Amino acid sequence: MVEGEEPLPPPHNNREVNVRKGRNKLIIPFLLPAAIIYLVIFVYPTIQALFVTLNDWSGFTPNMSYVGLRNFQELLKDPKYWISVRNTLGILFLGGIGIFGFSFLFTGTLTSGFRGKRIFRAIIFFPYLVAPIALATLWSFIYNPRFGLLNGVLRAVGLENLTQQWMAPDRLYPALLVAIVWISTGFYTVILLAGTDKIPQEFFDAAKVEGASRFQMFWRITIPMIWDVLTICLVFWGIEALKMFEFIYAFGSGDQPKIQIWTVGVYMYILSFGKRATIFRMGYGTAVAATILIFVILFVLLTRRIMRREVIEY
Amino acid sequence: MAVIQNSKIRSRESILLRGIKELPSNFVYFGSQLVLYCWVGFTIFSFIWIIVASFKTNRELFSQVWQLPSSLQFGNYIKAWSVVHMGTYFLNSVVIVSMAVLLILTIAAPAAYILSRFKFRGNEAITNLFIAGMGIPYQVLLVPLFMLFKQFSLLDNRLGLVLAYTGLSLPFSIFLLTGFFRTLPTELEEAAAIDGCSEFGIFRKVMLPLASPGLVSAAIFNFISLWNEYLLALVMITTDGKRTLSLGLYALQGAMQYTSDWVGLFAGVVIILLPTLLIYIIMSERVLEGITFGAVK
Amino acid sequence: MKTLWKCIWTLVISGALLLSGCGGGTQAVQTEQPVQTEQPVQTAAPEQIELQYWALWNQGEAQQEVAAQIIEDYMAEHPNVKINVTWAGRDVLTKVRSAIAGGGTIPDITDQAADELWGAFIKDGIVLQLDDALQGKAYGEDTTWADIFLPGTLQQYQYEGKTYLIPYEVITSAFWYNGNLFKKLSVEPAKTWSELMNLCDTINASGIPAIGGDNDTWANAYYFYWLSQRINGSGAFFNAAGDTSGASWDSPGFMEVAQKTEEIRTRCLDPNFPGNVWPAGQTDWSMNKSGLLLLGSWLPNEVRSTADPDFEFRGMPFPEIEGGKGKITDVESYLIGYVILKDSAHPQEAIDFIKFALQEKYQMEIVNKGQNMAARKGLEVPEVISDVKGMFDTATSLHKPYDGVQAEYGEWWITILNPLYDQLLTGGLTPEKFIQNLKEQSINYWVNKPTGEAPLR
Repeated sequence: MVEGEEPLPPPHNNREVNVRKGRNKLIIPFLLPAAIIYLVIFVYPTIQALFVTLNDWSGFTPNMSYVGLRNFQELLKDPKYWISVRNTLGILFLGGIGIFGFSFLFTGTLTSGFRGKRIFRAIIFFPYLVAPIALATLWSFIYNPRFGLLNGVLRAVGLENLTQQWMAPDRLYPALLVAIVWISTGFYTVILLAGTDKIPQEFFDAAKVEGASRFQMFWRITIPMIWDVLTICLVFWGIEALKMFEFIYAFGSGDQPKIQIWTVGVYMYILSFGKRATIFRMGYGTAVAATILIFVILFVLLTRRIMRREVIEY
Repeated sequence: MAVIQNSKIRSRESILLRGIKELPSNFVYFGSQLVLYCWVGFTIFSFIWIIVASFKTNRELFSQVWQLPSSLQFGNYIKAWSVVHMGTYFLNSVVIVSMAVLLILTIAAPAAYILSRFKFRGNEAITNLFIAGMGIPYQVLLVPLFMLFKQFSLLDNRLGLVLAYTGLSLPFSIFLLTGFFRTLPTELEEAAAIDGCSEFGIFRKVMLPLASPGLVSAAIFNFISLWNEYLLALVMITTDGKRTLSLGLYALQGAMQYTSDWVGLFAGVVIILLPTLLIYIIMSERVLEGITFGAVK
Repeated sequence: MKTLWKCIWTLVISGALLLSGCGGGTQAVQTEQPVQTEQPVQTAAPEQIELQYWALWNQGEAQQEVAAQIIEDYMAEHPNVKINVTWAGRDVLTKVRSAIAGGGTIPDITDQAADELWGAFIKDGIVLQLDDALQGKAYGEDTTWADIFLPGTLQQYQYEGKTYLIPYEVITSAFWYNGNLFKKLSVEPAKTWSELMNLCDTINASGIPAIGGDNDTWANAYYFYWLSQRINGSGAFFNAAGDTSGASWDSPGFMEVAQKTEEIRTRCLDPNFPGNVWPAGQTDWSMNKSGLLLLGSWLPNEVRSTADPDFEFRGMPFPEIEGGKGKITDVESYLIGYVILKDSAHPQEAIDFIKFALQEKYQMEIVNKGQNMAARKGLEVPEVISDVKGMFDTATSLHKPYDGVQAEYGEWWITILNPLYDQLLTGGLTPEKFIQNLKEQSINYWVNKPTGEAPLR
């Protein structure tokens, strides 16, 4: 019914289809609400925050004093900042290895046909839904040296000499990592599982005929086929790990976490807000937080480069 | 990777040999099953423990940590619900988060539709601008947001919080939905256009229903993350009657620190967990489906 | 499908109406006051005044109930004044700060621990000076207001000789113990360091660790500051913290602090201490699984619900150290009090309210209900901390918690001293290494700071 239109070849790329009349009329009204809200509520405050990084400001008085890049110079020389960077990267990489290691393990195990797959999947995912404060409390009970679950189990199986002070300062960071892995693995397992489910069964059947072991099937079929999904998961984890705050802040004793588990996000919060100690350096704190953005950008670029390859369309 | 093999070659190998060859991978398989069972068992145990703990007295909690309570202390729940107003907070959370999620979908879906399927100058830049927002730690935005909302007199206002949540959830939602819309075939679009459907009609009657798994996924995802959000609410809400549930939990934890009412805290935790748990049990398939649809094309 | 959408939109619209319509939400507690932005114009004579009070107490705490009662009574007596209270919790200053920064509604009155108020408000001069009010009469009494307070408490947080903080509650810290345990072991509270060590040995021998507690950074720091106070006297730690040259740390007094910390760790402290996450350690103590606990005077009240029924709460001041400058009668005075923001629209009413709150009957509520010590002199103290009264009665001097260091040098405190001392107390450093690191890191810290002084505020 549309005049003057020739039948087009089916588009290879969706983006080439804009030739219907009147289609472009939609662009502005559809895009505008989101753009406005985004600009006002997100972009503008971000710019303001970036401006704050160039100032010294207690947050209590409306007076800010402009100091240029001094906050950034300071943080480059601040040993506590670098400790927090190290901790953050540790969560990102060590935690990531743990999370994706277990996710692959579960994905490989929970293949279709596995009895109880749905229930197991649902249970593994569940910790992700719980409020971080609750989880932190739970873990402090698990790790308690006297009545904690972990030591209790060790004692019950006769491994008394392995019982530890799990949240002692030198073990606090590993303890945190374990908890983070436990909480986050479910999320990534679920996504990877969905990706694996999409792989046509024929590939696996053919491979079985060929005599491939489960392991080979996993390595040679599953992983390449879920490469895109994997990339998304990695990017997502990177962002989550770099931004992670609530659980860490609640972990361990007292009002604030001990320095062994200070991440950049935690350090920023302590500098700007904190609880007992009156620091209130919003300018410096925001500068610290701004560096998270840099890490995020670096990580995303790095991941996309490493994971780049031809898209398998199926 | 060649798929077609000469099956004659396979059958020549003896079954025994094959069995031995597969031993290591079988071993790994069973080992991983063991890990799985332990993991799942531990998770179930932990949550049952939280629920059981919420029914104990404080003394029981610390002296008989892993045993069942001698009697069920429902008083913990009554206290959390009424004294600490968890009931009010619950209502607030439900309304605020639901509204925010609806608003997000209403705004993000059309935008994602445009960004993923229309070609125009600046498309990629705009898309990237939205998605880049995912990387910004929103602790940084707390004070600027506060100042902004003050200017519009939207502080201590639940609608204001809805708006704030919407704005902050846009990056991820747009990311999810653009990915999703991109996968939808154009044939149906074409067919509807030929049938005389308006562009808006195409969107509403054809594309949107097709995209419902993605929309559900975005909805569920946002719901989960906003339900537990408390930093922004902490800064923006001051009146007690307007607090959200997560703020209530936070306040409960604060109060509990000075009253040592740990079991009360656990009761609060269970209360805050309940809706998520129920949604999860009833709709776990949908929930997980929803989440994965967005990420997996 | 259509009906579903209809349902959804009905929900949305009703939700919007719900949220925008009722400003205050459901009212549950009788003391909760909804925030009202529009006041009906009163033609009657007394002007309708609204005060905003942001309190550090949380809903459900005993002290919150006390404060709520005060507010209710005040409004009953002054019908033209309406007090909008927000139970903000311990983060109240964060909220106030956000309000000031963002130009939001700022409270007229707020309260918190004096140290925090010092760092947040008093130093910056954004609170009202109250000396004139203090020279007036106390509420409903004939005495000068300034005279009703425990001697020394008003002066503690004066800035350049002017008073800004009105204390209403006093907290201190001490070694807490079960009186029955001491009777059973036939021991007396220790007054000197050697007595303390002997006491520890005796308790250890009886089968429980001598000193228990939670590995909480800020609680651990009690040992540091108390040792410094007893060895070097009040103010020495404060001066050392602000010494940008780092030379103060070389003094033998601080090395002794480090060494005595080591002694505590090896001779007295529970081996499980490093792994104790609050509240496990103090709960254990309340169940007689350890002997002594060094903490603030809130402790007995906090553990009452889990403590053994026959636990007799006693407290002994930190012992004197032979050869040290501090006396056993130097008492820590940790205040909680009110300040009035300078930009308050109704300072006189705010002052009046505070005076009202400081009446004896409400102070006694703090004692009875809150189980804490009141700031008015001459009052009883709660039974669980009865020993505290004796400490204040015989006090020769009052000092701030942490010798005022946390208030003044917050960032150094959190980032330098606390992590290092945590390690010392849990055996991660030797005393020599501790002092060395402390000195080095402090010097670096001050060098790296913008102007070489305390961070700009």
